[in-house]
Amino acid sequence: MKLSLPILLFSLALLVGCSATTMRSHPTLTQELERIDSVVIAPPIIEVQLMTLTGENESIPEKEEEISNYINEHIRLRLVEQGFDVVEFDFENAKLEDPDFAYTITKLQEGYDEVKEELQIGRALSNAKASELKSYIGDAIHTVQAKTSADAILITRFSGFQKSGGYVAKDAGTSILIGILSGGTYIPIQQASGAGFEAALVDGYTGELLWADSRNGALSGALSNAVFAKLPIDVDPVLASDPQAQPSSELENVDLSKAEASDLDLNATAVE
Amino acid sequence: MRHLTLLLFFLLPLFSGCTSTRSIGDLEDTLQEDYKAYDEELWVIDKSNELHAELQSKGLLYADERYDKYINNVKTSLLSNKPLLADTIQIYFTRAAEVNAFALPNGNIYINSGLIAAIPTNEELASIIAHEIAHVHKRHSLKQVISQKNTLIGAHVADLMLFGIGLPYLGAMASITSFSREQETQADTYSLELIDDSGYRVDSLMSAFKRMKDNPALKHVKHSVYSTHPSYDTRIEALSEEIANRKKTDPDVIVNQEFHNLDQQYRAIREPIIIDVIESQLRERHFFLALYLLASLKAENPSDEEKALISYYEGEAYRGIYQHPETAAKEKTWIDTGKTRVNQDILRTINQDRHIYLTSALDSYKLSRSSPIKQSVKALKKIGELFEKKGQANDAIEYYKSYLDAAPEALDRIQVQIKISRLENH
Repeated sequence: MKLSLPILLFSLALLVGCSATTMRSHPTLTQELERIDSVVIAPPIIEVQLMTLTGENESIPEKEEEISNYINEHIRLRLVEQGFDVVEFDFENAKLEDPDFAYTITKLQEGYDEVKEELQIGRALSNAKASELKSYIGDAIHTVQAKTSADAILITRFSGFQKSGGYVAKDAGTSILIGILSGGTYIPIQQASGAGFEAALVDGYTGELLWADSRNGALSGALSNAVFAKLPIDVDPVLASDPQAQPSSELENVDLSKAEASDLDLNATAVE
Repeated sequence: MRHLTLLLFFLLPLFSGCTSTRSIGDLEDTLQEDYKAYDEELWVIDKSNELHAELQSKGLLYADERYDKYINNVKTSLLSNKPLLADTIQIYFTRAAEVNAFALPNGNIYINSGLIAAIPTNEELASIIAHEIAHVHKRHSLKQVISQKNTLIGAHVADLMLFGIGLPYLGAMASITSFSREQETQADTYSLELIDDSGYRVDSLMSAFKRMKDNPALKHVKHSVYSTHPSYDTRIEALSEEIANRKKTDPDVIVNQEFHNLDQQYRAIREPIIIDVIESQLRERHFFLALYLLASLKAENPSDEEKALISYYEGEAYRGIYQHPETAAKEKTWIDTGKTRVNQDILRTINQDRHIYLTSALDSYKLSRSSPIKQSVKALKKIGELFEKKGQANDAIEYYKSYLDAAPEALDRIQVQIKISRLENH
């Protein structure tokens, strides 16, 4: 009996530890969201690289454009569905007209990167800790807010890679060699592509990070669904005030490798 | 047998890659008539243009006539007798706090603002520009691409034969970086010619390297078999020998009026760039590096306004250390030891001294109020924030209100109004 009590307590501690999330939210999220009527989507940061055998890795503009369009179009719809005004703002033109504003956008992204490291965005944390994090993203936010008149700014980043035909052939060659030597008992499979997507909603007035999430998966626009299925706009006040009560199945990486364009349903439930 | 046929099928594209690769021996050693004659060179120029467009779209290139004028004068001072190079080379100042400069094969040379902040004289900066010109003149990027391509394909084949364990890539990496170090030494040597021919002090590149060697941001850059650059000690020693062996060695060359004007121009453009660097360091939470730079500026006999500016940014750095002790400890650990894992003793010391950093921040902000610079108005808000951190709500509200009075059009006024409202409601 003396031994079983510590074991029971240890097991309980493990169970509590299992309740983890990759989401981050402001401690008074519901209250802060009351001030947010409009959102502007900052230019998505998109990097998709083709890995080649010669080391001359190249960006894939058509893939980047496809992902960019997907993010802009579907996130806009999702925000509108939830009752937000999405501010239409031509960032590209504004950047061309004013190099200082282009630098402001770069500073905004840098500010997010600093906060990202501090809040460990992309790593699993207990629900309780992830819901009490508060961070200021930097002065650049005020310039963006003044220029766009949006109450909040949504920052998104998509980074991915795809292997060239030669690279895939080399991986396959290695797998076959090992397969031959192991008599076919072990054939390693190497991924031909991969991606990560992250999004953060920042209060345009206070500059505080309201909500952020980050996931890994396949090189497909559908990955953003995994993140945006959890946008805080439909936050349940009960859950927001009691972080422990939030669902705990956020920990694992999302594998949407089978998701194709036709599967890009905004209400996709592949996340859970 | 079926397995082997399949294997050969997969190997074929790899070996075909090997046969199509050009060798470095096919090229003229420096920029000549065969410039842009090879597919590889057109490819690297294309990539350089893409990178330039990206830097521009991110607002990372300074667009200022005063900077352009200075840059053109330095370029003329170095390349007046080299028309092909003068036509090819374009020099840009980039907004990046890292102490660095780099050249691209399309002839573009980028000088980071961090380097400008670290180098106080025109002569030393010109010698670094000469070093970058040497990379373009010697077609180093193109040679690097060809060498890397050959080395990597060899490594892929070896890796395949070793069942994908990855070991051959270590050899490839060492080979690529060794080639890169060789190029750095070549560029150092050629830049001496340019510097000497232009009438600059021939030892100015060596002086710049000595300065960079002592810079805390560069102190712990690793020099190993995998480094792309030789160590500063090695480079200083090699340059010293090279200078001693030169016929036209005259380190005390008379500085003419033209260079005197360039020195004045450089001093005038440096101040706003330094402010950019400090703000960038603070955004990246490099508080101690910012304090190091501010200390070096104090040693340059600043005016009263400059002193007030220095005080404001010292306040920012101290406040940063107070607010982010773990990040500060990580940075301090790296500066002191070169390690990336936080040293617990350093963290403990910073935590113990937090109240000192808080007081220093308050004092520095107050000092910055002695001159009518725009940062002195911003200091009011910062003082309010520190009082808020200390739990002195009334003092915080008072300073926030003073800030709103002094800067009624400030972009962050709504943020400050929300802060006041939160404090009043609590």
